[in-house]
This record gives sequence, C-alpha cells and structure tokens, in this order.
Amino acid sequence: MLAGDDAAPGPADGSPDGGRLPQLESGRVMEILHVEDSPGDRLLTEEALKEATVPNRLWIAKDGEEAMAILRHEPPFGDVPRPDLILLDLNLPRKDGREVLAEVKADPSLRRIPVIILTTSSAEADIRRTYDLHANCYITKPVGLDQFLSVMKALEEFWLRNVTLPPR
Amino acid sequence: MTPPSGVGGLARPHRILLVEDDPAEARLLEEAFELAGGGVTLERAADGEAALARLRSGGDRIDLLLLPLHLPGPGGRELLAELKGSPETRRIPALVLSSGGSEADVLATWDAHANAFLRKPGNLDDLAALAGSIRRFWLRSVQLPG
Repeated sequence: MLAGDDAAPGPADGSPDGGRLPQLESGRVMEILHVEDSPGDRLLTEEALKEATVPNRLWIAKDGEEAMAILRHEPPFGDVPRPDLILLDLNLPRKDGREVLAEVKADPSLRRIPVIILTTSSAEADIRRTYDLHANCYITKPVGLDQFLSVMKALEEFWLRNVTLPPR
Repeated sequence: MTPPSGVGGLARPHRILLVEDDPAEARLLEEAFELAGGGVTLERAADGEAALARLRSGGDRIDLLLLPLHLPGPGGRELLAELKGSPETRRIPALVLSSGGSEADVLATWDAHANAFLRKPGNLDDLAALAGSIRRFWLRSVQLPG
C-alpha cells in the first residue's frame, strides 16, 4: 500500500533545501494518499513526486472502498497516517471517485483534507459536478509524458510548497 | 495541454477577482502577476458584498477568486460561507490569501471549503513567485469550471 513497497518506506529522495517550506512542522513528511486503480498511472505519479523538493510519502488505495477504509482508519489500515493531501481518480472499481469525494467532503472530520481530482476525464459534467462537491481542484491528466510531468511539477510547487495545509 | 501563446504561456487571458479594500495592496498584487508573466486581469472588489454583487451580475467570467481573511464589514470567512453555500458561486475556485491568521483560522478556512489557503508574502519578489505558482497551476494545469 505504501508506494514502492519493495523499498524501505520513507520520504522520497527530495530533502528540505532550506527554502520555503513553511507549511509543515520541521522534519515532518507530507503524507499523500493516491486513489488510483491503474498500476501504470500510479507509477507515473510516484516517479513525478520523487522529484519533489518537499519530503513526501505516497500511500496507495486501489479503489474507492479502500480509500474510505484508509481515511477512517479501519482495519487493517489503522496505522496509516491521515493524509495531508488526496489525489483522487474518478473512475474506480467498487466505489467510484465521485462517491469518495462526496463522502469526504460531507464528513466534518475529513472535509478539510484537500482533494485533487486527477483523472483522464475531461467531461464538462465531471468538472462541474466535482467542483460543486467541493473538490479543491480538477486536473485532466495530459497524455504525453512531458506534459504530465510539467503538470505534476506545477502541482507540487503549488500544493507542497506554497499552500498552508490544515493543521493536523 | 495548450502550447505557449501570446499571453505569457496561457492559452487565453484570465480574469481574477480580488477582494481587497486597500487599492495599494491590489496594485502590488497586479504587479506581482505582471512580473510572473501577465495574461491576467485583476478586478478588484472592495468588500464581500461588492464581490458577491459582481459575481451575481453576470459580466466577464471570473476564473479565480482571491480573498483575504479580514475584510471591512463581514469577514472573509462569512464571504467564503456565502460563496460556497450558493449554487451560483460555489464552483468558482476561491483561494484565501492572508498575511495573518491563527491555526484556528486556517482550519476554519479549509472547513469552509476554501479551495486553498495561502500565506501572503510581505515583499514583491515572494509575491511574484507565488503569483507565478498560481498561474502555472490554476491557469495552465487545472480544468477550471466552465
């Protein structure tokens, strides 16, 4: 469940560079939950976040039900920390991303966690509906690798380096 | 995504509504967006009521809202609650940009469905860097609601 779980769990390669890292207590690793059923897409995101200058740890949920179980610390996920950020795909097995979003944003103990929709869908209906459900932002994954990496870089810069996340 | 074009890498010009009672602060932010590459029109509303009136009046589409925590009259949190509670305005991304704010303020802002909370830097260089990040993420990478 921890991304790249054949390796020792821990922060990605990036380390604090003494620059602007105001949002976390010093030394703390940013916990990111990625809800995605495609192994290829999971790997791409993992690779992109390894480049991040902010230490982060990526947790994986393969479907919406697993995501909710992780967020609610249900067994066997009791030890998974509450994420600072959720990257959420929309089309997922078992429980769909739209349902996950609605549940997270309706739950007073979870709604403060920023949810970034990261999906292949560019349907206007999905964009509107997810913003109406209080998704924090909506990204259609670009198909080309370079473009995907450039979007992930902008995401990392904004969400990991500039945003002041809700205190834990 | 879209290839760089004539507006500093943006596919089209964008319009941001800034809620700010101090015109000098608004000019500073405008300069920050210019330094970050331009292509952004910053419209100012002096308080929450003016912002709501602007959003409800139709007119050019607002892509993004920037609002502070502290405002004359009803505060930023009341404005956020109004924006996010109303079907006509709730989907417009609203970023809180605040130079102050306690931990409780930050938490309440997220709970009120702000799309993000940002600390406002005190100097132009850092403000331009932040404007650059907002441009690269919100105006180039994100699907904004139509």
